[in-house]
Amino acid sequence: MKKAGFSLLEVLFSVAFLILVGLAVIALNVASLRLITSSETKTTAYALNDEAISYLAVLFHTKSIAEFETLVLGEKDCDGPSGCYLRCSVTQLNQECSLEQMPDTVQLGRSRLSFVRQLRVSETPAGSDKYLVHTSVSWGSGINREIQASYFLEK
Amino acid sequence: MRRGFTLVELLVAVGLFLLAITVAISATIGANNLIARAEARAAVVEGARTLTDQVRRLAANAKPGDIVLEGNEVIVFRGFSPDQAANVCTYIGLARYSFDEQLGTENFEFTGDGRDTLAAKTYKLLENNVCSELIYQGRLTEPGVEALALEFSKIVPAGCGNSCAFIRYKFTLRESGIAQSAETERRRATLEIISSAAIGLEL
Repeated sequence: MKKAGFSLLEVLFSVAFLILVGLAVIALNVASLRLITSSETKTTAYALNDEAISYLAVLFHTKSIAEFETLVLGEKDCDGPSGCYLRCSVTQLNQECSLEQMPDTVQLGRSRLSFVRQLRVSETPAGSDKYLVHTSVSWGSGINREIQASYFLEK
Repeated sequence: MRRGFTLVELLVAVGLFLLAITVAISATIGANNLIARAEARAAVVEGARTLTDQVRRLAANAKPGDIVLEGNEVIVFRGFSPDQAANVCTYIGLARYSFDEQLGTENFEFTGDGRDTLAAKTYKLLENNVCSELIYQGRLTEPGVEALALEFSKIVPAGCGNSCAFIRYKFTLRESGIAQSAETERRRATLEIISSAAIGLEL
């Protein structure tokens, strides 16, 4: 008698192929959504980072070098190993920001992420009255959950 | 002897074919939805970047006295524009959009109800410090994006005098359209941004 129909191998191969196609589509969806979410998060983080840079720049230009050093390097310990942190009200825009020694978290919109803005300030080179400011905005731990920027302050 | 398919073979073949077609159609619809969602979210992010870049650029080149808030939702920058090679007033704020069909132009009004677009308008700055004669107007967000809120605040820290100031601003952008269910409302692209720009300081 002549053998008819698909062999077990053929059926398994076809089913596996269908599953593979389905999984590929799901993986594509997940990867794309992750990419877009990351882009949204970084846009928020860059905006928050701008705030930290702007605040410190205004502080630097409105105070004398001695006052700036006393406040930022002395009182707030921004040149210490853990730097200092920016605190700004997200509801009252007309309130001034402040530097703190403890992390202050910012939550925006529907996002469940908590952003923390850290600043490190160091006089570079020493005695030059020029300050290297290193800012970072993080929303978790790990290098992929953080943006960083550095710039110089000089009069 | 000639042999055809049995009924069972035919049903299995048709069943498998329908399954494959269903998977293919679902994948196509899913991919199209994904592309639409990705485009909407990208448009929201792009709108946010456009506004922050615009404010930062104008603030860096302006003097504190040249920046005025008109309410909380509109900010006016007066200063020299390299693009226009002239002194100009640039208004940025929450605007109401309308389209003039006869002229084929888009118009933006910073007053009244129904303001849900971020827009910029540029006027000539006359010698008596008056903003007059519209040079340019345009949207900062794409048509598929609506602005739910925009708020500016200008802070002059002690010691700044007339030489510097600090603008804080906050806005929320959302993918426009009518949500048909709570689930679509939840998935609608929304982005809230808060930032600041130092005025009169080159950063």
